[in-house]
Amino acid sequence: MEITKDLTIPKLFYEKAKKYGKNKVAMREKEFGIWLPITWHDYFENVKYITLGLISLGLTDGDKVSMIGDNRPEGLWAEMAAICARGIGVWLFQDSLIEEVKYIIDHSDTKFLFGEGQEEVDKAISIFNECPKLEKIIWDNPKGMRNYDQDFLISLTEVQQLGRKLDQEKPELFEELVSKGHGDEVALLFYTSGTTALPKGALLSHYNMLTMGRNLMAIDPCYENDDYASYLPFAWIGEQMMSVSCGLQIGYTINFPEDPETAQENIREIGPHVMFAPPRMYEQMTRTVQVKYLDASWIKRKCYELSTKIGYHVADLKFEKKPIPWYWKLLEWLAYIGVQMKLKDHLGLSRVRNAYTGGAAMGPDHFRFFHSMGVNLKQIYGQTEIAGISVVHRSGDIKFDTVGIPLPETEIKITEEGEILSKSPSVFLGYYKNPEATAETLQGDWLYSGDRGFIDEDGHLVVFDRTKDVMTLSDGKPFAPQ
Amino acid sequence: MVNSNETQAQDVLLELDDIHMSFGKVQALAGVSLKIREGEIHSVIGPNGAGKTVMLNCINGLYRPQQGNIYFNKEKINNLKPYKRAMLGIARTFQKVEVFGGMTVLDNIRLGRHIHYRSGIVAGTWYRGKTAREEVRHRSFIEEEIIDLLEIEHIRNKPVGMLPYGLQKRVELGRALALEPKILILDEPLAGLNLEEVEDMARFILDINEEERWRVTCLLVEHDMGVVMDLSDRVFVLNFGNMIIDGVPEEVQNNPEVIKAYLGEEDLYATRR
Repeated sequence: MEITKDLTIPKLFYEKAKKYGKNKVAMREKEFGIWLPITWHDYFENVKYITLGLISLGLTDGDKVSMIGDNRPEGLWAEMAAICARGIGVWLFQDSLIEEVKYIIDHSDTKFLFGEGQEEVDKAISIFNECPKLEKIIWDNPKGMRNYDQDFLISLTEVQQLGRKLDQEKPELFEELVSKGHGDEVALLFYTSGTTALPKGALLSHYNMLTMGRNLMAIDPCYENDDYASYLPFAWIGEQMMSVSCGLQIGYTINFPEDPETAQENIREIGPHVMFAPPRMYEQMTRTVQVKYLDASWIKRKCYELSTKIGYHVADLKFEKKPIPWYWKLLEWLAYIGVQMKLKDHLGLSRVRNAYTGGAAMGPDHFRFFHSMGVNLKQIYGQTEIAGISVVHRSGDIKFDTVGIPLPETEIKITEEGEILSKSPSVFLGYYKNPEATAETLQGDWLYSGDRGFIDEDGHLVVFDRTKDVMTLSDGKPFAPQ
Repeated sequence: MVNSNETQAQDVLLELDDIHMSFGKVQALAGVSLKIREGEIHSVIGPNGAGKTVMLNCINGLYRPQQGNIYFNKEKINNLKPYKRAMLGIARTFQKVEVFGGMTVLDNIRLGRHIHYRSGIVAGTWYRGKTAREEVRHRSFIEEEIIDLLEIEHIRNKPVGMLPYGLQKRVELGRALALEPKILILDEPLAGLNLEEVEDMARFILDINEEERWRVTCLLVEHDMGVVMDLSDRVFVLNFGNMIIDGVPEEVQNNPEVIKAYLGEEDLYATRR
């Protein structure tokens, strides 16, 4: 489907749900030890009734709806419903402290808050009186909720019942709501982490999100029968990009682990085709392998050493873009059959076509480790303000110290001071209630990143660090102490 | 939160009537009488060596009292073997965890489910039709009701011996719950746990007692006074085999004899909070 300014996330969602119906699994969740499938039809029904439920609770155009909780189908339904009801979705990190929750709920003028269960509801209750615009708190996990009787609390099931009632009264309402939107309208309000300053809310339009998905999929296509595991916070733009921007366009199956603690194990069961995670996830995998290696018997250690030697040599040839002789190809195949196949399976990487890492720097050793196993790990560069990523490595063109080359439709420019500017259809609309910061960040069509870097001889972008963290050596060269 | 003390206790579920128990010349229980009503959390407190664990052992049949009677559901159970008492619906956990370290969490819990299995050894070997369906039914009970409640999804297939102490205690509770008991005897469920684990365990005990699905009567032996006073409907104080008082938490806290014998006069009661 072509992405135009007329297309919105709800329109695309409607289109996909009608196309796949009961014949395709939209998402899976592991519950009680079993993977439970949710078809596009179920997904659609759930979203539809939550949407109408929100409307009957009094949601009007542009109202903010916040979500907090672990990755689970209900979370994605709530987000989709908020957008379908012509509201604006706001995600909070599940481990946010009460002050952070209060700041974001208050600053975003949130009217409805979706919390998962008792823990999130407790947080919401403690800030309820200080956030006058907050009207209802919606929960979906009944565990421990038996003694709560505040009238601003409502369960997701009750919201859906309200939606069903409204649907009987006005059967055309949902379709009307979906058809109303325009691509330039705000879909999501995304708060930046705010480690050193108060969080800023970036406004992202439907068009921003959808073009992001289209441009990433143009270089690294995914297919509708692919699997993706969603376990990183939805409040992180990378997860939104994979689950919503790309997920909705491609229609791949999104898999939710049983519990945050079982994520690694559950990923192995799924074997996703695409992966996007911060470096610490990959570093953790490397460490796991190293520890298991030390625990293994002599013969296993020798097999592993031999196969990694072969893997590293072949990976290095690929990095240097040199041809691989046939005998090395044969050895690589033997190493794969003997060791790497099993190793990749244990890490849940057997089927990964593209694995992305971003958000922080990653050491070359980790990079080489994954490539030696034949995992196509790529560095990305991006930010919330560009709805995800703007620069990424291409297959067969990986350099450890760079973040790759710009996505299609994306331009990158370096100012005289060395600041990285980018321009693309995914550049955000501005910060919510913060015109000064918007004016600083958005000048003309260019997004001022506040990061310092340069473009190397191969056209790859090299990122130093945040401009304020970069120091200058006595000979005038910039360097990043981190 | 609704104060759990308000829940009305109903009929007597378990009754101890003038129990005497001595080991040689040491008298552990000297005529203890206690009534536990259905639906309540009844705690037993007392200094070390007061006879609390001996009392629990008498209830579930590890010891036979020399004098006195024990009634469960108005039926005398003095002469029943421990496993017969378990079949009636008396489950317990131990002060020092008594789990099967080499078996997985799931197998430990399954073991508690054993008394509910109807298929015999031959049918189990053949494992077709009814037997297989029965297994699935019990497994879904364990998954949906116990593993979900106790939040131990991530360790379901791990050998219990490799788990930290706090999780082992949870597994032991899970095994007791698999029995679907009418009364759950908890012998120091919070001993040796850190603050977070204590909070979790207290939450589980409340859930088991209050949740419509369970509604299990609990007999709790515990030293953490903060938790005991918060959770219990009634508190029974034992001192060297004799009862000092049996009453609601406020009464017990203000009783001068209890303060002297156990709680200490300086700070009213010790708690981790």
